[in-house]
Amino acid sequence: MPRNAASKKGSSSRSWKDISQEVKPKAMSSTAWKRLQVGRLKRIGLALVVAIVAIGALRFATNVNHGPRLLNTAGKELPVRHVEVVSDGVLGKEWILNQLDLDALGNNLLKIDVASVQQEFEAIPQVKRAQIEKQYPDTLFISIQEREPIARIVARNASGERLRLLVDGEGVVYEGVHYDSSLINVLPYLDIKGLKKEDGRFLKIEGLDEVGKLLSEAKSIAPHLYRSWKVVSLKDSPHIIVRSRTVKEARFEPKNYRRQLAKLDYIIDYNRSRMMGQVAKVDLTLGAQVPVKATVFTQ
Amino acid sequence: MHKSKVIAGVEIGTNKVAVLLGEIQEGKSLNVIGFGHCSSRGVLKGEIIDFYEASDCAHAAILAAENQAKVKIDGVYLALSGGHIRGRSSEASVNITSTDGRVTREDIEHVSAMAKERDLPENCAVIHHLRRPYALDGRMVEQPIAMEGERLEANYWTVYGDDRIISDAIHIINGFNLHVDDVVLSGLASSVAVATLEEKKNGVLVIDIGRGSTDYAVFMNGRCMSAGCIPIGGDHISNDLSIGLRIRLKQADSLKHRYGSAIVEHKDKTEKVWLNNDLEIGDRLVPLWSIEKIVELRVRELFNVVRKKLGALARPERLPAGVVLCGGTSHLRNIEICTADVFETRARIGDNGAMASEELRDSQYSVALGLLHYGLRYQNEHDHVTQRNRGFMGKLKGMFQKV
Repeated sequence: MPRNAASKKGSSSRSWKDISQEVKPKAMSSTAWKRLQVGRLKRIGLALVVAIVAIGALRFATNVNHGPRLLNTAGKELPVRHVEVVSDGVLGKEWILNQLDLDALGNNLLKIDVASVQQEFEAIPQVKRAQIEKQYPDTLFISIQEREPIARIVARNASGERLRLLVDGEGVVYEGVHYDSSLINVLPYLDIKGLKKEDGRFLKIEGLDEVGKLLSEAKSIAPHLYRSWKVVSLKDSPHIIVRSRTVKEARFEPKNYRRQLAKLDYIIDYNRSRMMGQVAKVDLTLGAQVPVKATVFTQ
Repeated sequence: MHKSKVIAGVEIGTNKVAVLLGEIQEGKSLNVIGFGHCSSRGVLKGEIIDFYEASDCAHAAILAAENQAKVKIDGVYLALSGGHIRGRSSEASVNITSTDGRVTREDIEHVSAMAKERDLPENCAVIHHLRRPYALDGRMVEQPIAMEGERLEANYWTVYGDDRIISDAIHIINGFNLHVDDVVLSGLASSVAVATLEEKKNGVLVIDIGRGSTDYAVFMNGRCMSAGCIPIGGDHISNDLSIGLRIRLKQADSLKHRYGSAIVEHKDKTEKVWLNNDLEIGDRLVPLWSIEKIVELRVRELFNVVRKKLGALARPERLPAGVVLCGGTSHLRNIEICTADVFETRARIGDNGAMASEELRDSQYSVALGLLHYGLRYQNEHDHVTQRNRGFMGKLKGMFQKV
């Protein structure tokens, strides 16, 4: 109570308890002022700690209750910024990205299902194997192993249109894309009894592994012979019959191709050096005996 | 969980500021947990003459005690002293109006209120209403409820002082962001520490002689019959020595401590002592008889003033337990002999031995220690802290104030 008010009230009831006990800054010593400020800082600090702990506890509780949803929410923050592509064949990065269609996948590295993307790529006939990797935080890595064609094959579609297809060493028939024509034109045509089709796709040709061995052997040790081969026929299986510009028909048996190729090369050379005319038929299936039928050489 | 409260007993004296912190547990037991001490400045004869100097000293002592105890203080019990403090008897009487002629609680409340209502001088504030025993038809009774009688008399010893001087002392404590729960006359506070309950029942006079003032309280039948303060203390003895021997005040103070005696022990007037005792230029011999005589005269004068103030209460037959001395000046040699001679009763130097550890046993800490015990005894009546912290917000605020 202010002093004047107390005086007016009269001294009879005036007690020391009527004296106002307000904390006035003027009455404070430097020690008291420092103590007051330190006390305030401590209170503010305590309030901050309490607030931080409370917020932390609240967030922790939310995490515990809605963990999986938060994980998905976090995935939205990881868009795919880079796609790295490695291919051992002719398929380029642009073509592969077109096939990938990131937008359709949500462009979220966490959302991309690697197995399904791999399946999608391996469903393309020209792709033999695909490997997909997520490289956090923002890169998708794609490695493509392509099929290597060993022969060409001609087929017709349902509308009777002629199709130029390729066959790899495993007998898979596919429509090759992005191949250079100089590479394709040297491949021999494959002559087989019948090409089967199912669900709009050509079925794998069985027993083509021996043809593959023969052709790859010829390509590596006798490329001059290989380049002249026009047709490889399996119609007289298990023998392989090759028709070329230099030999109208050469019959191979499915073993020791290196030796048979050496014999064929010798026969052609011998025939050419003696000017005995074009070789019509060579049978390499009879071991040491090699019947050769020559036509009249005309210059 | 035990409910505890930390209170401080603060004495802002002329010589020193003493602060004791006590922890009251469940209102039953008191543990002294902190002690702060600072030489005083800005205080003369128990009254504040320089607010900021006195604040600095008091706050330093409180902070020291707080730091020692590592607690926050809930409330302060403040000792008051100085020449402004006066006392007077306030009496009132009522007729017993109940049909059976027995005293009721309402009769007591009525007569007590009437006794306390008497006007005070201008600009004065009541410090204590000390109740003396009731008188029922002229016979002294401690508790008259249900006793038969016709006339009940209540008698209070009202202690009051200048409200501006009391405000200054309270505002020093408020300046440290603390609340004063109660103010207590220094003499009353020290009597709690140095006088036993048995002495108070028998009749005892407690005199606390400080540097600037002397507080006194006389007890009979376990109740304080009178208490007051006179603005004479140890400094006046030094001052008289300074004038009488024509020496500086500091030298006089030194002589008082070294050779001062409240009775003349050395009758040989030729016996002399060195003034400074350093045998340097300016040092000289002073008659020992003169020192003792001046001190004795001054001490006798002091006790005679007290005796005159107390009047009939100071008669030897009313003080069978004698006089108990405390305060810094009570260390003066032979002072108890002088006291016994003046009051014609036995006298002793009080100490706090019954309730304090070794370092607080000296009677110069009696006031602060007594304040704590005063706080323990009366805290239920004066528990402002609890009132302030009432309610949810109050408790929350209290929690933060604890930090």
